[in-house]
Amino acid sequence: EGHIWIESEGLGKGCTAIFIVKLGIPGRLNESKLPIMPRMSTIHGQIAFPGLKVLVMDENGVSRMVTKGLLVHLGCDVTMVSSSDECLRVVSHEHKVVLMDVCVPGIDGYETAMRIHEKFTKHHERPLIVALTGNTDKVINENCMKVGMDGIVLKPVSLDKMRSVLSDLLEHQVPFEAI
Amino acid sequence: MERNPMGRQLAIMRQSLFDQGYLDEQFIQLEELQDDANPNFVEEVVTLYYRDSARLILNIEQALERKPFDFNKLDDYMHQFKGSSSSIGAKKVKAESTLFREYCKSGNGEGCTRTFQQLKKEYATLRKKLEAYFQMARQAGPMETACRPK
Repeated sequence: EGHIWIESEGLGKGCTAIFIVKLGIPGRLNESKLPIMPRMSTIHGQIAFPGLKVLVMDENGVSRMVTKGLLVHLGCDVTMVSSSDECLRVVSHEHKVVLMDVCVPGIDGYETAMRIHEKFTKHHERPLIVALTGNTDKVINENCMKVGMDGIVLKPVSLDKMRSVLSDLLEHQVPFEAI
Repeated sequence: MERNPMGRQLAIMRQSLFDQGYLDEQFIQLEELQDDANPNFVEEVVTLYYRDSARLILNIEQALERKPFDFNKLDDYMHQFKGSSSSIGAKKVKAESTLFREYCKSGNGEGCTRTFQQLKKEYATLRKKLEAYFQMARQAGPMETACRPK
């Protein structure tokens, strides 16, 4: 991936060759351990999720807008809610994924996850539940597992990470094992 | 052949925001989301950030006027503020937010007050720089938003 072009002010004035390349970044080793979201896998070509219905729960307006932008860019059909109550009211079997922010004080993401499990007794109807969290300490990881979340993503989420998270989630459709 | 000289100016301005530590790679993530369907995404998110966070800044200011400090409340506000700042890649602002939260956790009122002053400075400086950047981006024309590959 990259782009290269030449700029010049005219004949005899020389020219500048400019290029932009994408370089790898060594992964952050202390990212979420449990449940494991696989490290950024190499995905060749653009993967998109046309029409994938995703419900995003996030109290923070700015982070909500960014998450929405990410998902829309990947072709998803995004619904946004800002509270646990709204989330439970709005969530339906049409939603394939629920992304919930679990690090904002005041929003009980864990309880919401449990209530989603209660609401969808047929496993195949239940949306996949992914926690968005600002840190991955052991307590948060364990709590997410306990309440039956299908995965954890560390914020801020990059486009590539979101792409690979959704891709792996949808492919496996089962909770992740610890590596 | 004449190329847009403003494009290069814009790229230089943009690079300096990263080099001087005002922005981190999250800002680049926002740029990646800007496309024909969302041509002003970055500016829209930044505008929302300054609008939303103004309220939090005010809340914190008011909370710092009440003695004794309610460190839990201060930490809550700053947690939100940090989250927003993080979402737009505001590196220096985020660093001050982290420091502020540490002072909250250790109950250091003077540290909180001092850090908050510094935070407000960084917040204002970033705003000016981003405003100038977006203004130049508009002048440079639609093809020259950060010279990113499409």
